[in-house]
Amino acid sequence: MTQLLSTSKLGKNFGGNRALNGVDFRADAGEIVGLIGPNGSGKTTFFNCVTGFLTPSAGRVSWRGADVTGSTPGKLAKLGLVRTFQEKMVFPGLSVRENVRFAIIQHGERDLSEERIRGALTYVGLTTDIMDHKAGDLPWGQCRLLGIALALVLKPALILLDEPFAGTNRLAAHQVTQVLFKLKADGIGAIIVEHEMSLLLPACDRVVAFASGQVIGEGTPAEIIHNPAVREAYFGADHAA
Amino acid sequence: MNGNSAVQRFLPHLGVLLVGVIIFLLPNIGPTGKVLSLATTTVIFAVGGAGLGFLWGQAGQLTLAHAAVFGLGAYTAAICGKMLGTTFVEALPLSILVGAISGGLVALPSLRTKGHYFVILTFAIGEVLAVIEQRWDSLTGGANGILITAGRQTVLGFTLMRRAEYYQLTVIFLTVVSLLLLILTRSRWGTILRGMRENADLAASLGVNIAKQRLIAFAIAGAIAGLAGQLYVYQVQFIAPSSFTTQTSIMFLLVTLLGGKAYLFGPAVGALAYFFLPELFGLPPITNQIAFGALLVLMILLAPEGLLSVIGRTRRFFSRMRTRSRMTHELEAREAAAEKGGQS
Amino acid sequence: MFAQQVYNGVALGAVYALIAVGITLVYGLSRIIHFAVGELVMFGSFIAWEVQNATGSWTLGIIAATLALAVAGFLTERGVFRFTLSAPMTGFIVSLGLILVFQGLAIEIWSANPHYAQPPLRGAWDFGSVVVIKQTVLNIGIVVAMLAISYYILMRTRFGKALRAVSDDSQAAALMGIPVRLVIMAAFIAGSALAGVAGWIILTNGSITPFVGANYLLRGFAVALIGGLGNIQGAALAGLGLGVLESLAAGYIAPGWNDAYVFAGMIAILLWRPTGLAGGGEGAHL
Repeated sequence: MTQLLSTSKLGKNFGGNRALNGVDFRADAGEIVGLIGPNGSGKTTFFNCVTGFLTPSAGRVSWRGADVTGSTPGKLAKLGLVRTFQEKMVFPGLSVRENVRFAIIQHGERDLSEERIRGALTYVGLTTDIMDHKAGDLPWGQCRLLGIALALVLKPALILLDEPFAGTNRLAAHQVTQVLFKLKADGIGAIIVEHEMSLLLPACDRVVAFASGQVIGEGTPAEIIHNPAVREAYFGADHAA
Repeated sequence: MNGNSAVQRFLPHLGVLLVGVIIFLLPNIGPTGKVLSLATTTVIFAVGGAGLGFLWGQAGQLTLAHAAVFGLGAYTAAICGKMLGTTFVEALPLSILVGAISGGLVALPSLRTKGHYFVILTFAIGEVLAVIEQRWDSLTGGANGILITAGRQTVLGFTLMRRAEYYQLTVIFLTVVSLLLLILTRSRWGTILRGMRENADLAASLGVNIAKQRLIAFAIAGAIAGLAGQLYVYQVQFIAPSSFTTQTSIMFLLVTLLGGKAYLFGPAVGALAYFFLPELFGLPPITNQIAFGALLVLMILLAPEGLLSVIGRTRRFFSRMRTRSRMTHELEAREAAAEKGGQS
Repeated sequence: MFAQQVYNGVALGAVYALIAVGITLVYGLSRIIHFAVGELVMFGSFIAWEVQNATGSWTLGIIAATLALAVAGFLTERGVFRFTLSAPMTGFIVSLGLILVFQGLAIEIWSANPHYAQPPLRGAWDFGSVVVIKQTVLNIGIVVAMLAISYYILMRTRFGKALRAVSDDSQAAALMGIPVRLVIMAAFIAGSALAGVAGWIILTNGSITPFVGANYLLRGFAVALIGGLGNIQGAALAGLGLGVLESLAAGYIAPGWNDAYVFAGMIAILLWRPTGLAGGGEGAHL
């Protein structure tokens, strides 16, 4: 498999606090990688460092073999690495139509027709009757799907999803899972940060576990569930007994 | 039905056109000189306000240096006219260029600072410019300012020194600026700007170079302010730093907010209210200042989207009432029919 | 000459620090940039002037200015600012409107002409290289006392603890049972009262007009920003620094350009360290 994204010895300090400490990571084309770990384990910092929202303090980030450490989010997006957000997922004050238009314009497409916009919405399982709604008025789950739709309009090679299941009801969670399978079928890679293990694991090819800013385990979902280091760090409180 | 909706769609445009023509022909209905000069001032500040409205309403960026940039445009026109003997037309590209460059400079700190820090920085930049205007005597005439005259110049056939004709010229400039902004707002780039306003991080993650786009938006607003500055200096034929203080910046803010920053003609409506309401009520200037301060507070608290939004809201309210009453009628009719059916 | 300019700078910077602490208090708790603070200072000056003229007592003047401004802080918070807590930028624009209102009122009441007053302490001590005007010593003393009281209340009392909790995370503070709205109101009252004291000090410089506000507003903000919004010690240090630099620049370069140095300096510092020299920042903590 061709390697898309990789990091070596990636580190990030906030003041004296080491949020990331020597993270080696790789994601291959078409692969769905889950990123798990307790709160404050550095997952989100890792995400931000990789996507250009934070500059790493140490180490490097490579994309298709080329060094992209410290590149802006915009440049990475153009290279095919796009992310979604946990909370501010969409352009709240704009209509759903204009949200999608934004992404299509950014992808450099000429075609801004209704069909094109509908296509982007239906890909993630959204209905097209919400086109004129303000994105900020949508229920949380639809917001998430719209956020994913925006990222996918850019036809990324790798999409980074920041807690795509957080705050979704069962229907929306199901839709997100459907999108993940669709990505897989279309050969688009994904890295997913998630707390909700039961929803995440079935969709993943490989899972990487973080704790205290370091990778503490890696493997197939089945391997990860039985990895003692991961159990201790992740389930520690519950499974101490 | 189809023809009807086409007419409905066409009507507002016709309305705007009609209002535009009436505004343009104002001198023909024989207003007093005072009204005419007030109208000219209104149009000029509508031009300047349109720049701020674009920046604030579309790109979501607030600047308190708008008056300073407006002032730089004015000084450029005045200094070029005085020292180099340039005509109005020759000075125009310069004023616009100086406005665009200084507008862009104001945006630079936004690449490093955010939110409140940035707004205060724009204010400080405005103050620095004001000090330079005041102290660089040899260039700006210091506190005494500069007197200029347009002589017998004509632009597009309008004689600058004739009040009525200068007024009409400014209306033409307002029309051109409004059209340009309309095109920009409706363009693909307009969507990008609004996206940046709504969620800059998401915009960046979708590939927008935020710094660059913001700089361009500021430069456009600055260019418009520079143009308005030149229009202003040729109207009053005098310029001094006291015209471009904090008060002027707040005034631009008020004008933009009053009409509605999201509307193309918001600043124009705001300027109209700003300059003609005091005339209507005949308030002395200081009472005016207090009233406008209070109005600014009330507007931002009660109708932050401006007067035009109030009109829109009222219209929506009435149309909802109408729908409701129609629905009630239909319901009554249906019930009546059902009753009749039940009887038979 | 040098020592003299430094001393003058300290006297000048003390007032800036005082205003900046008020700004910082209000910002730290409400996240509102209160731009009308310059006009509050100006109002404080005029109230002190009125009371001093009526009673002949400076002490009553300073008390009246402080109390009147505390009331003004209460009224503006209750009247307008409390409606803007969810959208601080709205609060900022409200304060711009208040600038017009306050300044207009001052002109209506006291006219645009300067008003003069003699300082309570006259004369100066001559130490050879430095001439110390007695009044400035009193002023610096008052500022130090006010800053010390603020610091003590903030760091050593229950109330201060509540204040800091709200500043850190108002939602968490609310959950802990701290009356957040009340604490924010207190910050407005205290911040405005400090502006009243600053107003009195400015009056002791000799003359006031309804237009002095802008000058102190910008310097107050320069100091608060450079010190790091929400940071009291930072404000005190930055105030002294700004006063001394301004005084030296006025003495050795060209006095007329003072505003330009101050603001250019502030712009440069903020571009270099976007959240101020002493830290603090967008989500600043007290």
